[in-house]
Amino acid sequence: MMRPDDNSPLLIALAISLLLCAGASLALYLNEDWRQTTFGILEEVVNEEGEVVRKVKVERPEPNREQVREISRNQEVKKREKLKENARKLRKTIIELEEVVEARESTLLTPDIWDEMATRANSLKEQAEMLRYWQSKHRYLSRQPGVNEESVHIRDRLTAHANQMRVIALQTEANDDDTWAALNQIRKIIDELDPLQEALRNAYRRTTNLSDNEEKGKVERYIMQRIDEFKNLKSDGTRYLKDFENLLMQDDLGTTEEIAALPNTALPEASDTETQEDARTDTEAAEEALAGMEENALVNTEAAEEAHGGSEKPEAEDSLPSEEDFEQMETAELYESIQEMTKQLDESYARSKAIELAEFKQLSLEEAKEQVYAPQTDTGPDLSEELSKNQPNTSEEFKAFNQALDKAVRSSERMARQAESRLDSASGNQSAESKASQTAEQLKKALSKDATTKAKMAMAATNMGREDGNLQDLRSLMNENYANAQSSHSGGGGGSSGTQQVGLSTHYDASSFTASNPGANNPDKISLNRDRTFAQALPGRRFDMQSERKGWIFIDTWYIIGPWDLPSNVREFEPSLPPETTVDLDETYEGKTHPVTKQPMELKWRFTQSGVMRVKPPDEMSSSVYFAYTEVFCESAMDVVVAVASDDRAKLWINDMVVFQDVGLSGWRLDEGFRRILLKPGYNKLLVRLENGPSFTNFSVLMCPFDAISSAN
Amino acid sequence: MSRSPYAEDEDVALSMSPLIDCVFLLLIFFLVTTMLKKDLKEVEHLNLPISRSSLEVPPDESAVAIAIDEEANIYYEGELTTIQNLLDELRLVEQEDADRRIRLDTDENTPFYRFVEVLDALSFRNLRNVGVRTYHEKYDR
Repeated sequence: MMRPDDNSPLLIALAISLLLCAGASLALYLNEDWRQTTFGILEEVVNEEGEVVRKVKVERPEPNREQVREISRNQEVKKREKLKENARKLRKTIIELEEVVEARESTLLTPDIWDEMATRANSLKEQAEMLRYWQSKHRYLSRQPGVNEESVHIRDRLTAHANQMRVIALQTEANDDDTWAALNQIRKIIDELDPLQEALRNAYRRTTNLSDNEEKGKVERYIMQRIDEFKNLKSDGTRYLKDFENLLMQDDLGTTEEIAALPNTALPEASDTETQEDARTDTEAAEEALAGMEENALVNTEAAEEAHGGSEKPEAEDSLPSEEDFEQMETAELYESIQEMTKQLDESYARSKAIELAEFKQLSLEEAKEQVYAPQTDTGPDLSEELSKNQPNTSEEFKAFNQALDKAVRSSERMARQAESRLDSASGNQSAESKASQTAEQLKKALSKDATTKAKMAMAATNMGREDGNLQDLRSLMNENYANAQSSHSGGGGGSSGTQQVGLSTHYDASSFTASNPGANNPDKISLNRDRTFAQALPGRRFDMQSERKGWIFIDTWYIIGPWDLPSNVREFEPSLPPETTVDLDETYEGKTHPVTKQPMELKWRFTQSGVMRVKPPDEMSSSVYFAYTEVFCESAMDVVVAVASDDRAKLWINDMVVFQDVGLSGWRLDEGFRRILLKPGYNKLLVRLENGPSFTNFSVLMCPFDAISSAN
Repeated sequence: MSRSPYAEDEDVALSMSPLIDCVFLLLIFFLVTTMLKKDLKEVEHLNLPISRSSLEVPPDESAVAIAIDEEANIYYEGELTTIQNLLDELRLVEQEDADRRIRLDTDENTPFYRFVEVLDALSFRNLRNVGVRTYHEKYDR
């Protein structure tokens, strides 16, 4: 039999262990320090409404100073590598961008004779625009038979000619066929001036027959002014035509004169004297023309030198820190230098855009600089102080340091990414590899080709002088542009352009789209059943091959910004506004003066999704300009017909190429104009500039695969 | 008469086994009751909406966390960001793995237009594996 006290040791052990547990629990409960260093702490947090929000925090024992330093050193080394990588990327991007800027600048600062001719064509166009503008402002004059039609006709013809000349000027070497076509064009225009002259003269004669009163004198004076303007236009035009003819004749004799007349900055004096000697041997007419050109050329050289003097700056590579510098820099310095480089990149980018604008619109570089918007990249937070504390003593300090490191890495990544997209936009989306392998001369050629294609696109895109329902085929031009950007793109780098999609073919089979007998199956007009399209068009932004429904799709989702003031000058879609330079959805701008507060409105990109075909900007106002931006996704390259309709007028860019440009203050009609275009696989950028005259405004962009249209017909 | 096993022991020693039992019991108790919170990259000041119909999905660290707060600010992986950056990031996510899980945390008072905007951006980037997070007693104490 077991005695009761046989179990006593066990009982005693149990009692002791219970006591120990109780003691430990009590000690933990009473002493906060012990709790913190052993188990988690239950912290009570009370929110604003008095509710208790409990959080469990598990604290680790405090490491000693050496351990903290060790950890922080490891982290710093790891993250410095990332920073360095981003810095190197950024540096490469800046150097490439500088090359692009230089190439552009050299073409701009060494204008050839065609640039000169294009400027003159442009000034003729401006004269015609002014004439038309003042004529339209006068009701009596506009009512006179023929005046209105003829002045519009002349303006349109001269605009077309100016565009044609711009294309010629942008080419590195003018194409003979193009120049002769341009000559014939201007010849015809000069002939077509006569009906306008006749109409104006008739109008004046009719006015003199009116009964005498105050009005009569005014009207007479007004018409006389117009006639004077017309005379100027005509004499300028005739002179221009003559010079043009001489230039081409001379070209046939030999191109030495033209080359010599170029304001070659390397040997200006020498070439001038040579030119004069050469010129003496030539025909009388050529000599005369040449003298005029030389004068111009001299002016140009001066302007070029002036501009060059103004933009004197050290070579990009010298001012940038070298790769070795990156190795030696402290983390804080490295981050700062990344910020510095980003600022430098912004400057180069603004310059590049200004030069592009100057080339395209025949402005001086100074003017273009004023007009162009210089976007600022967000350089991230200032972390120099946090990053310089790289010897933390406690884990708290280490945490702050580590956070700063993380932030620095993230913002440097963002800056490098943005830099790449800037470079893409400045160089016409050329891939990184192709740029690296290009010589300066090739780069210049590629840029010029890109600019030429864009100018041709702008010419083909305008709706000026075209009827409703017209269909323009822009596929070959777009294909040229894509191919230009695509050449040697096969490596698959430069992922920022967004075409590098998983499972997407980045190659365009150009022949399948353009080669197959362009005459056949390529209507120049589309008639659209309005009601049916209204009923059947679906909203969307993605084109999938498997999609069962094929037909008109209206783009329903936009980021819209505005209103800016609509300038009351004669030109449409001028001046250039910031979103045309770059679309940054986070940027805010100063816009139109608010009618009530009299303060400039702060403009932000706003997300707009429309359930109906016609999209309305959120802050609708009269006499204002809006921009709408969106992206369209395609699984493969697609042959698409796009229909833009707007109240009052709109201009559409797809992938930075002008695809549609409306004229005049027309109302919204579904079939204002159709463009047959190519969309590249992946994301395609769409930007619409919408200009509103009086009262309401809206726009719509519809797309339809071409096959669907042709099968429906 | 049987002898007590302890009778011969002059010195009474403490047995360790029940002590260890107790300690293990305590350990198991703490293991079961303590929930270690995972790093969900969440935004602290969000007041998540309550839903009775929501599904219970265990927290997943591989999910992309996007949050929108009361003032319509957007957070990507717990960091304040902008819509342009978000669009860029989503493009990268799409390129890497279009089926990646996306967790959308919104405040009760988040403006709806912002919510729609982000959803649209996700759908446009072909990211369909999106879940909206609601208040859960277990995770959001």
